[in-house]
Amino acid sequence: MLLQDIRYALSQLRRAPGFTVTAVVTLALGIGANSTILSWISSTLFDPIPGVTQTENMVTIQRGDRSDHPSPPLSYPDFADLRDHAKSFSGIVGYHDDFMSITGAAQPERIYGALTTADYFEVLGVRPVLGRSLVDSRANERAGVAEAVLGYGLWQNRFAGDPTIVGKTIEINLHPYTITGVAPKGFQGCKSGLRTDIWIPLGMDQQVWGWNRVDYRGTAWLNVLGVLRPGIDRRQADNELNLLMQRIVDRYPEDHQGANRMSTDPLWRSPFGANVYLAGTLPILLALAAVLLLLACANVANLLLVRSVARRREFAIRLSMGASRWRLVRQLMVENLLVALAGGGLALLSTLWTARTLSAFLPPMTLPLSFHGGLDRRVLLATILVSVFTALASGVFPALRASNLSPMAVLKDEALNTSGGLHKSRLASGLVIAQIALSLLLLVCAGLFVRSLDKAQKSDPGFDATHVLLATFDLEPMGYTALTGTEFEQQLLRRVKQLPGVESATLADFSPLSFTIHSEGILPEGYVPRPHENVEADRGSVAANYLQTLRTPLISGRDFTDQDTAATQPVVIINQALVDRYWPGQNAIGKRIQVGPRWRTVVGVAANGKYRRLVYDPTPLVLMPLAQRYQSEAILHVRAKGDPQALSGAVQRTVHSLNANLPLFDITTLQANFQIGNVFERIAVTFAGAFGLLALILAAVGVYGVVAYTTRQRTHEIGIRMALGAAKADVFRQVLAQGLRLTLVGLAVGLAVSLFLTRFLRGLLFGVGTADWLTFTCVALSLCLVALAACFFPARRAASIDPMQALRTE
Amino acid sequence: MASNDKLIEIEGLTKVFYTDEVETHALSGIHLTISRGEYVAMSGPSGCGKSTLLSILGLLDTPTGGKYLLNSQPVENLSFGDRSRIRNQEIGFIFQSFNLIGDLTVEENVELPLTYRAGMPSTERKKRVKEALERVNMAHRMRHYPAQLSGGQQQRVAVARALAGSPSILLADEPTGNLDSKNGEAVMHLLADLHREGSTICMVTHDPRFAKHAQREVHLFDGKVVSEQELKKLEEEVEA
Repeated sequence: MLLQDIRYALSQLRRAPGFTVTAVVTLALGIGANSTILSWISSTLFDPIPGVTQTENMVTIQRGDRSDHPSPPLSYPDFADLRDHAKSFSGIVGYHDDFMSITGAAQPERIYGALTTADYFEVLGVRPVLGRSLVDSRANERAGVAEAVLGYGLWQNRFAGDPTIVGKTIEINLHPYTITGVAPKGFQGCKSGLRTDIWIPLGMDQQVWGWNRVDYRGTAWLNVLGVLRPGIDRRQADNELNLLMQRIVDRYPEDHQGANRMSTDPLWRSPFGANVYLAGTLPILLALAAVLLLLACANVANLLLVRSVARRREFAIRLSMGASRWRLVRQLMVENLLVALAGGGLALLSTLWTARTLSAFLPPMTLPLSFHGGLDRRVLLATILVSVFTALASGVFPALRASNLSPMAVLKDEALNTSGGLHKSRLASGLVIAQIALSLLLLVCAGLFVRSLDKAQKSDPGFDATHVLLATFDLEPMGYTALTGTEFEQQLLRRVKQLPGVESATLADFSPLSFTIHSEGILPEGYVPRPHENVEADRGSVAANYLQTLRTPLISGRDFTDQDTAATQPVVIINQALVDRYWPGQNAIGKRIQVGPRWRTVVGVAANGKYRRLVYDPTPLVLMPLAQRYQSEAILHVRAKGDPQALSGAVQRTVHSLNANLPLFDITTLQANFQIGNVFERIAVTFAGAFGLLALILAAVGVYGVVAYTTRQRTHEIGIRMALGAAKADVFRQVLAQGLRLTLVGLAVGLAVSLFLTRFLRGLLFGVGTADWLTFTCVALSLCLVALAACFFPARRAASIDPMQALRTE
Repeated sequence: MASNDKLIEIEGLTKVFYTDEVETHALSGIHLTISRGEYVAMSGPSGCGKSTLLSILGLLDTPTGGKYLLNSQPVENLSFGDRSRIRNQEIGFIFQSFNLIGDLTVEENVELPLTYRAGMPSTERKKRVKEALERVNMAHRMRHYPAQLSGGQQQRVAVARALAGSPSILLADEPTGNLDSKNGEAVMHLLADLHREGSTICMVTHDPRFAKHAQREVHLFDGKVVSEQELKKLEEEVEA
């Protein structure tokens, strides 16, 4: 019997191609929005580290105050102690990731790599596709072994997928390493959204980056990921970690000043990696997509209502021939289900493309951010369920309404007397009110995101981003030492400053808004930290004239000069936020501050700037002279008098005049960093905006549909009114008023709902309140205008009704 | 209550419908005069053109040719807006199927034509509605909806609606067509009472019993006004 229903439903849908196509496309839009966001959630939050299957019981470990951009939590000795004693974990891995270079060829290739603890691959459950993982011996962990596991992409791209690669030697930062294996396709490391190309044992820190951090308990540099034992939850793990950490702190208090509270996060919202940003944005987008789906359902429900009026005679005949009401409802629900599944199918097809659009938001940037969107079984199943829900949500009420009729009355045409007016369209009117309310909610959310992004972009970042060219280089792989490297950097700056069109130039180990700045523990002189207070600041190493080149206002003191060298007094420039937090109301010039192991004297106080994201409030910052804290990798900042890109060639020639083989990376502008600094806001704006636009269209179509439908239903009534003296303008006004009434009720409901729900956006907005009157007013007025425009055509048609004809339609 | 004051004057009125290149002459040269206070019944067989003539008299339709003076003013070529205004102020319609609006109460239905009169205050409207409903003995059902009334009561409300605007003429199209004989008689008595009180009435009916209630009977056949004798003769010819 069900097969018969399906056959009949298909035939009915074929007979009404206009309805079928409209309903399928409308539902496809709603379902497609959901399947797109679900595909992103699936590939990021549900699959935080691709290539690792069992991530549900994995956690990242954070030390100190909760932050969405925390520093690596542990030193190697602390890590080893915790790993040896923690019973909550079946395995713990530590790693540190950063840029390194494959050398040995004419030009070094810059890659993102990680130093890892011994059993890194084993704990993650990742088996190399070729060879073996790194040496699994904790005894060798501290000393290190010159081995490397290649990432699948690096193996394919640089080594052409050489099947005999295992056992061969490559050179990393001028040191030879034996390749022991190749990681499987898809695996890209432990940080969500960040691609690692090579893995090397932890003990090679000295060779790779010139440090020897494994020996220092006071240097926290390891990111940590643990696998919880079965039956252990995060709270138990946190408690154990805190107990163990307290013992370590009691034993080595000098190495553990500041906050030492331990906490864990599931990988889907781990603060280490891109998920920390996506975990805030994607659920909100999914909620907005769900609202859009409800809107689409309301629209299709209205279509079904209109269609059911046209089919009343058919239903009456079926009922009079003995069909039960339930049988009729089932028949209609089968039709709805087929429409919804077709919409779901179309949505899945479109999701094949839209799932990959997340990565399209990433501008060219230094960090190897990598999002893998795609359709998987989770998305497929969810889309099918959403489609079934859609069929129920859009079809149940129209089906119940359509089947609730008196067959004799319909067959005698008594029930078709159309001067009954609006009471027959109350359900349709209710649906339109819901559509307006939901549209308003979506448009308000979109408007708030747009206003927030606008405010962020117009906010003062604390520096002048225009006319600044950026270019990155790394001297370590070219054999430079701290001494020769410093000499090279000074020569380079001298030559670049002499180039025509250059106003000033400087170097830094970070550039603002590109996720390249790091933070570090500090201790301002005279400041007594509260118990468990995390005393930390963003820190950067910069060359002379940094503030001048970025046009960051100097509040007091001086900028760095060429006289700030490794041999002179260690100095530091801080920002106003640091003064306000640790030395409020005091003159900071001449005070001292400990950064890492060294005490430095404050020589300048700069205005606050935004170095991480435009939407963040300013945080404390310390800048140190590059000559006093050498970094082999530096970013050249060149302020041009005109177009900074026009200097690109001259700057490259200048670099190569000093070293013909030194590669320059990421040649871009500081202005372009704004695209990186607000990438997550742009994702929110783009999709909330698209959902809002679709909502507006669906609402307009909904209002048009209902007003046109009820106007057609009221043709006879309009004829009566005209016979009694109503002019065309009266009829026109009446129809417009009907649409306006529905719209105003919808707006009132929508405003109340929006005022309540937009509170949940608070954490995603910058510089704009969740009840921003300008956004609410503009959206309400726009919706009102669109609704009136949608009523215009039915109103004009009603006004042109011939009263004689209308009276005959009885 | 006869009068020489002419309310409606029609000369050589024609109405032709065109469908698929076929001309149908619904009215062919009608001459008719209705004076103020007169009660005229138009009768004739189905399709003779009486409803078309009533629609033209009520300015719901326009003639193809001829002259139509209402209150001595030519109205055959007025704009839609002017016709609406005159319909609202000068003409009261009573339909066969009552044509009350189901969503409106009795009071709102009667008030409806007055709402289209610019500048009439609400208090004045309410007063007129009350008076009109009292004239037809339906004031006690003001808050009811049409569906809660019998057919006869609905037609009385429709009469009140037609009266409320104090029109120059009441046009009734088969006002008893949807009523049983008892209610039909009651409505005819109501119209007769209104006529006695001074209303001008033009009623279309095919029932000779009700036509007798009128002062004057106009017979139509194939779109022409004919005498009673001519009508009988023509009907016999058709039957033969």
